[in-house]
This record gives sequence, structure tokens and C-alpha cells, in this order.
Amino acid sequence: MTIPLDYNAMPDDAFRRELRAWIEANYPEEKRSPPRRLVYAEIEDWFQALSKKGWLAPGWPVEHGGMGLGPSKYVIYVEEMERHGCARLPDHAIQMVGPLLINYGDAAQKAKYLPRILAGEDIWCQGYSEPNAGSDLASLRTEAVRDGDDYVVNGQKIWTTLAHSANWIFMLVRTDKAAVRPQRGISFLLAPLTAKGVTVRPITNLKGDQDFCEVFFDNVRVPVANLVGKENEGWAMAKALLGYERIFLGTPRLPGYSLNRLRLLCEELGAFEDTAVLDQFTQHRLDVRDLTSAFEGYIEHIRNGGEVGPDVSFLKIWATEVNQRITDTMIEVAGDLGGFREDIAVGNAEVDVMSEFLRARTSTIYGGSNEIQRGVIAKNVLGLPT
Amino acid sequence: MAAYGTVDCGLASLATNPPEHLTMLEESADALLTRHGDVGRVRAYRGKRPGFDRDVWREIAEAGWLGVLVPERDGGIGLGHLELCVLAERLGAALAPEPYVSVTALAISVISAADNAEARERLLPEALTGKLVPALAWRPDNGSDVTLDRAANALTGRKSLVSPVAGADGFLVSANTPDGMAAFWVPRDADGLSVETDLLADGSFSGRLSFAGAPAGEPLFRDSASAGKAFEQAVERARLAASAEMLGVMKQAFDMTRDYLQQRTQFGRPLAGFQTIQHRLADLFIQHRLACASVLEAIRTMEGGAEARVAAAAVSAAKARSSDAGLKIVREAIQLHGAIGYTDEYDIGLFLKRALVLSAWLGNAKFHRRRFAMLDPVV
Repeated sequence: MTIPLDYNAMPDDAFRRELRAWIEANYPEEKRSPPRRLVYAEIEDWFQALSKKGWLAPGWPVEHGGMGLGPSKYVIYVEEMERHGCARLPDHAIQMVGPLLINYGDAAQKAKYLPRILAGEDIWCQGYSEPNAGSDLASLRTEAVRDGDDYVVNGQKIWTTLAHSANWIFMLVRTDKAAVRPQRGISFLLAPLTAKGVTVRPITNLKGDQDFCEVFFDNVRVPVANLVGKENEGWAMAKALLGYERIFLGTPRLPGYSLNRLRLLCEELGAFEDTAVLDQFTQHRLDVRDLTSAFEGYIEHIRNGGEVGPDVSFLKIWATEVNQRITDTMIEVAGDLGGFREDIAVGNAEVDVMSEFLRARTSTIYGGSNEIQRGVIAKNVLGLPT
Repeated sequence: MAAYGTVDCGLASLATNPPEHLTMLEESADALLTRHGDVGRVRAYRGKRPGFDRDVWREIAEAGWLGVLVPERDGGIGLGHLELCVLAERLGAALAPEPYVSVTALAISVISAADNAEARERLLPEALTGKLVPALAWRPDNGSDVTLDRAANALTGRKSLVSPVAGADGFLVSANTPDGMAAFWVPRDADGLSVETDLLADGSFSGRLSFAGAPAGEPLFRDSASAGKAFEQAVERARLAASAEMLGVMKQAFDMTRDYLQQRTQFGRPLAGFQTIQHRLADLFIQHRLACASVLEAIRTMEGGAEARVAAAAVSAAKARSSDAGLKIVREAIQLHGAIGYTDEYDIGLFLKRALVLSAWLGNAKFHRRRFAMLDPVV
């Protein structure tokens, strides 16, 4: 047995070089920067390569099969994956279920689920949002009622990303309807999507893709052994799972990608001859440039052992709204082709104008809508009254 | 110093690995400036010569701030652009009428770089101790520039947008010569120099100089290239420092507005409790953070020994962002204050006027966006 490397002890540059070389040698070229979320079957080869290398779970402790990276090395990991255009994996289990079980699960749960996650045998999805519990997540009503050694689950989850390619769901359920505050009656439950009474229905989004789903629970029996942590303490665990990784909601990568597409479009159309277009483009460039400076400044702060505070929301707001403005300009510059559904052919290139425009709509909604993020800044940074 | 990311943080708190002395510098700047009054102090100098307090100027000199970028062997304190910017930011937050950025970044930068040792050793100590207030005259007036009549060793022509002017004791004037650009020191009371002033929105002055055979004296630089380089460097520094001064202006205006909205009650609750107000304040907070990030990036670039073109592009990005962010914040600050914000008596309007002057000075946002695109072209 080989002793796992202590990556945290490596110099940053060496760690970065090693990651980069291996990614370049192993990432499937045709899957760089895919235009939509890929399901497991489409990215299995890369998933398995990472798994065999032991690099699938950068943040998990080494004893659970992760890389055990601290924040500064974790940041480099993400930067290198993004730099190469690696597709985002179906990573709910790696990002959420792993940390949840490692922090709050019992020994049997860790032994049962963690190895299967790393092997790609189980694909997990996240059951949080409900039709009437979106931004106000604590009002969720999917109910788990104790009956012997089982919970009986009834209700509905929605916007469940990639549920149609998953076989497990980790979900927040209501276990106490009489709790004084709605947050106090919520528990974390793990449920197989293969159980009797579960129905998964994919939802077609504005782009025409099926990234997210509805999941219905009709008298689904889930063993009590699948409860994580204590009953009615799920909310606090869910909040604690929002770690420093949320800084990546504000990555300059998304607007950076759109900006490159806009540049290609402008070049092929000769649109930079138009001073108004060039001015607009420069504004976008500077918006992305200053975002990058702010983002890197924040990353440095984390690298130096700093905390991620509620102010981090400003990166997400700016990144996603800059991204939308860039795609607005793409539609405008495309002129009469701005209504075309498929990629448009201009000069020697094909540009995904509509696809980028539509994709950018989701970014201001997911991960806590930008309205919620503004509320976080107002209350938790500026100290304004609730 | 405020903790990273909190509502109180500014340049010093957001800088990566700030030197230990930065906190002290920030605190001593605030202490010095508040000792002389609050932001309303500027009212006493509006439209009045020299436009600032000579005693405060002397204290600023004694604190060493005028020589922040001047090497210690030349009588300065030999610090960097980060310190220059933190000082400029604090002066901005205090709405100090003293012409710190223009004198330090423009005039003293040029004097300090002068390779005419006699002139440098005569002017620099006087400038650093605050006895002499120098100003850089580098902008031609409507296409008419200053030229050197070599036979008479005298200057003829016009300069504009000179700052400071009302309190300036003399001018470092760039002039066209048959060998290219040269620079000369012309005392304010020199024969053949007439000085006119234009009043700016914040009550400070901008100058127009007319030279009609004013004696030129010895050139400050041995050749055109070194003079040109010194002037360019000075202007870039001033653009950067003006961006930092704007950070202080916008942040203080933001803080005043936030405080006001928490105190002002309508419909039975503080205005700051309304979501429409909260989201607008959140947007202004974002603008300030972006502007800080942009200025810090420009500081890094200037300090990192980047080639001139790259540094200039970074400075343009910072000046464009801080000008836009500053104007947005002060405009919103007036609106969020309501009618009281439109009175001369209430201080918030002072921020609007300073921001208008700072954003237009040395190139506004549109100018610098276009300059950025020229310096760092897409194609």
C-alpha cells in the first residue's frame, strides 16, 4: 500500500504543474467546455480516470478516499479544472453528500455510501427545492412520518438537477410540523430513487435541455437508518455545508467564456469597426477584468487563512449579471440573426448566441437568487434591519 | 483596520499581504485630518484663495506624506503606490481641500525625477517641507502649447487644467523645443506669466497659464526622453491616486447614506428596512468593492515593474471603474437622502461635487475605457 501524498505540503507551483500535466494528458479533448451539464454516462471516462487517480474528491479527508486539500490547494484544483475547460461532473455527492456524511453520518453510513460514490456506483441528486419552497426553503413541506423502522415520505421536490440520471437523493424533509420555527422541524434523509413510490419527471428548460427534474414521493418507505444526524436538526447541517466553495459561484469563468464568444462574433462580423460596439465590448471587458481582480483578491484572502464572509455574495451577483449583459450584447450584435435558435454561422465560425443568452438566465437564479444575495449583503454585511 | 469583507473595509483591509505599517498610516491619516474638522471643513475654502489650509498642508508635509514615493536619500519616506493610494483614499474620505494628489503625484514626482541636480536639490526639499507648493503644467490650452524661444531662453504659449493653481507657488512647465520636450520651473510671480482660474464644482480651482516671454531658466531634464518619461510616470501616478481618492469619497458618501437611512423613519420604520432601499445599497456596496479591486490591481501592476503600456492599461481600468462607481454612488446618495440631499447645508452634496471633479480630472471613465482598448487592443 502506498502512503497517500500530502498535497498540502507541496509547493503551490509544483502542485499546479502536476495537476495541469495530468489533466491535459487525461481529459477527453472533445468534451472541453461543453455547452450544458453532462450526465454521468456522458462523462464516465473522466469520472473514472479521476476516481482511479484518487483525485475525484479534492476536499474529502484522505482517510475517506479524498485528496484532503486545504483551501489554498483546493482553489488551485478548481482553477486548473476550469482553465482546461473540464466539464462539471455530476458532483452533488462529492460536494455535498460526502461532507455531510463525513461530518454528521454514522460509521455504517460512511462505510456504505462513501466508497460507492468514489467508484461512480451511486449518482446522487440534491432534494432541496419544492414547488412552494424555493428562496424560502425552510417552508418545505415534503413530509417524513415515522412508522416503525421506516419513515413514510410524501411530497414533491423540484429543480432537482440531473435526478433522471441519479439513483439516490439526499433530501431535506419535514419531520416536525409543530416546530416553533419552520427551520427546527427539518431532517436530512437519504433515499434510493429506485424505491417504490418515487417518480422522476425531467423538465425541459428554456434551452430545450433536460438538466433538472421533478421528483414525486408517494408513500415511499425509507429506513430510519437513512436519517443523517439527529431528527429535526437537518437545517443546521444544510447551512454548515455551505463552505468556502461558494466563492466559485462568482467565478469569472462564465462571463469570461461569454466574452470570448462575443469577441469571436464581433470579429467575424467586423462589428468592432462600429465605435459603439467597441465601446460596449470594452465595458464588458473591464467588467470581467475587475471581477477577476476582485475574485483573485478574495481567493488570496482564503489562501491566507481568511474566512468566507457574507460579502462573498457580491462576486456572484456581479459575475452573473455581467454574464447576462454580455449575452444581451451578443443578441444585439447578431442583428437579424439574433432570433435564431441554433448556433449562427458567421464568417469562419459558429457562435452559440442563443444558447449562451438562455444559459445566462439561470445563473442569476441558482445558488441563491441574486435578490436573495442582495438581501444577504444588506442584512449580514451592511447591518440593515431585517 | 477593518476586517476583510466587512462594511468598513477599504483599500488597506482588502490589500493582499499589506505591510504592517499600513494600519498605522491609515490611522494617523484619519487622526490628522479629523483633528482639523469634519467633511464640512471644505466649505470655508470654496472659491477662496488659496483654496486650502496652509497649516494642514504643513502637517501633511511633516507627516512625510508629500514624499511618500520619494526615496529616503532625497528626503522622502520611500514607500510605494499602495501607501500613496491609502493616503489619497483617506484624504478623499475626509473631503480634504488640500491638493495632495496633484502636488505629490504630479509635481513632486517630476521634481524628484529631474536629472538637473541643482534644480532638484533646490526645489525638492522646499516642496517636501510644504514651504513651496509646486504644480505641474502639462496640458496645452485648446491646441496652443508652450514653446521655448531658445535665443531669449523664454517661454511663450498657454497651458490649461493646471492643478493646484490658486495656492501654487510656481509651475513645472513642459515646453516644445527644437530638440523635443523640455521642462522648466517658473515661479508664480515670474515676469511674462499670467495666471487665470476657473472655479470647479467643489469650490476648488483649475488654472490657465499664459506665457509671454517668461524666463525659462535651466531645463530640469537633460533630454527630451527623460523629461517625457518623468511626466508620463507622474500622470499615471496621479490617475491612480485620484482613483484611490475617489474610493474614499464614494465610501464615505455610502456610509453617510447608510447611516441616514437607518435613522430616517417613514411609514413607521427606518427607510433602511425597505427592501427596495436595501437592494440599492447592496448594489452600491458592490460598486465600491469592484473599484477597490480595480485600484489594487493597478497598484500591483505599477509596483510589479510591468512595462509602461501594461501599467497604463491597468491604471486606465482603475480610473474608469472608480469614476463610474464614484459617480453612481454619489448620485444615488443624493436620491436616497431625498430633499435634504439637495440642500447646500447638508454634507452629502459636498461628496457629489468632489466626485464630479475627481471623475473628470485626468480623463473620465469614457476616456479611460477607450484608452484601455487602445493600449490593450482586442485584435
